[in-house]
Amino acid sequence: MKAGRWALSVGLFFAIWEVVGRSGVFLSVVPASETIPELFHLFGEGDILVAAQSTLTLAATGFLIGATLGVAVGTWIASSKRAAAVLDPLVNASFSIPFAIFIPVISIYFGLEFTAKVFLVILFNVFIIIINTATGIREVPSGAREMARAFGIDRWGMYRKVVFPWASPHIITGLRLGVGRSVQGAILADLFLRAQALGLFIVDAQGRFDIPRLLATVFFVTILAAGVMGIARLIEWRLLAWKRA
Amino acid sequence: MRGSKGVGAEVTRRERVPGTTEGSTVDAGAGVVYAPPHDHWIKTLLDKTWFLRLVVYGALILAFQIVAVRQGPFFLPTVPDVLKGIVELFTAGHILVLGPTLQQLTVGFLLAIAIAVPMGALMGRFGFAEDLLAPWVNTIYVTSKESLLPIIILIFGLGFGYRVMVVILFAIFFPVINTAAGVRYVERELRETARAFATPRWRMFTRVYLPAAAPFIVAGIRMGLAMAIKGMVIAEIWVYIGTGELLTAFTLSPRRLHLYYALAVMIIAVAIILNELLKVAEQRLRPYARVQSREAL
Repeated sequence: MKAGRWALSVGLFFAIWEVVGRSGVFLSVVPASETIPELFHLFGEGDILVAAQSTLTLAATGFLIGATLGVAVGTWIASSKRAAAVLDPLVNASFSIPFAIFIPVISIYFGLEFTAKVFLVILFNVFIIIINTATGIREVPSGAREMARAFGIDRWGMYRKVVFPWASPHIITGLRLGVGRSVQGAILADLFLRAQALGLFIVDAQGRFDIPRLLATVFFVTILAAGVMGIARLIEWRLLAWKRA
Repeated sequence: MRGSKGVGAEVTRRERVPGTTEGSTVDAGAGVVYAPPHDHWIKTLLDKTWFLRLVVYGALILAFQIVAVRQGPFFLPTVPDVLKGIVELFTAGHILVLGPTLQQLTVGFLLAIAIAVPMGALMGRFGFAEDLLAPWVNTIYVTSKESLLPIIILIFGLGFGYRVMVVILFAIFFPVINTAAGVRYVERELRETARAFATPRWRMFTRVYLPAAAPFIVAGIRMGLAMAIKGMVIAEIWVYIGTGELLTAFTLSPRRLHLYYALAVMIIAVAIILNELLKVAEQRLRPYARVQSREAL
């Protein structure tokens, strides 16, 4: 039933795309039946896979740094009232700040290459990880901490055996959201800083007005990002299996 | 015994007798002379939120100023220059560029809400609509909407339609997801009572589902607004119009970074103020319930 409706949903999407493309209402939309073969053609060339790998490497680098930083800062905020007093307003404000306004100056301070792009990716992913880590750790019940303390646990053991395991659902969810933000940030960086990898594919197809290629690339980027998110969600689901049991 | 542990901890921490070794504790009531809690005034100050913020934010601004003075205005403008820049944005007329930007932001945002709330309500109420729309909502929500910009340009050109469409694309997801969630969790009793009074279907939406889900919807609209502003900025930087043109032009030659920072500060301030205003509206709508942040959605 559910699968049937899902198939219907996907089918409807392609049907509408095909009809709109053929109708010629929008001269710039080619039907799905021309886009999908172009996508396979791109796969055949292979360049787009190399580009995808490059963009994902950027996302992964930014994610690793952002995750380390985010979990550390989140832990700090949750454990120190003073750190919270200072950092909470900044972290909250980060939800409203359109970080894209920094794109013009990022190139002044970090150049247009990998460093600048990693910086942009971290700006995109770090705050959601901080928030979720801090929320998770603040929700560790004081009873659990006191029990551990009564058994003479040291500071490191407290974090390793009590605080982090207890907060892990929140932290893992934060990391999963961070994966999505990282991929998004990496694509943004490859489009808006120096056009490279998947960003270059899009800009290039747009510049040459090669519409089937443009649509195929954008379609591929969307599916790729959704696929990475799907894998992240699967990993989260597996890691938190103990919670459902 | 419940709570005694906490009280005990409080006592041992407070009643540190001056002169004893740091960290040693004195059992209250063990015959020791009671020493009133008397922290050093610096420690008292360090526990004050306003003081900590004053010191840290002050230090950050000072650091900004020092770097600016040492590296020169080509790298970083000084703080007074940025403040003058805000005035200059008005006197030099740059601010007029924000007119069309805000206009298109408003139109796009209102359209996004007008589409999102009915769509979310349908998704929350009818499993069929949910199954049909959810795959696409979830896919585009998590993927990079930036990569869709070239297609939107191809379809709508570079004018009004393009910017409005990008704003809709960015702003629509939170209101949809939140409205759906809010309507889905409308209490069963509420629904059944309304139905017992033979409420027509249409009225169920306007009188039961949407009012009950209002706090969720407003929270979604608030997050949607933040996204709308993000979308606006990205759309304009991509094609160098409006604020995007200004922001980019200020960093190129002739480089006028004080104007760039002045504009950036203003955009960020507007975004934060609007967000706080909607937060107030959100709290007004649910004075009874705990305000649960759904930002981590």
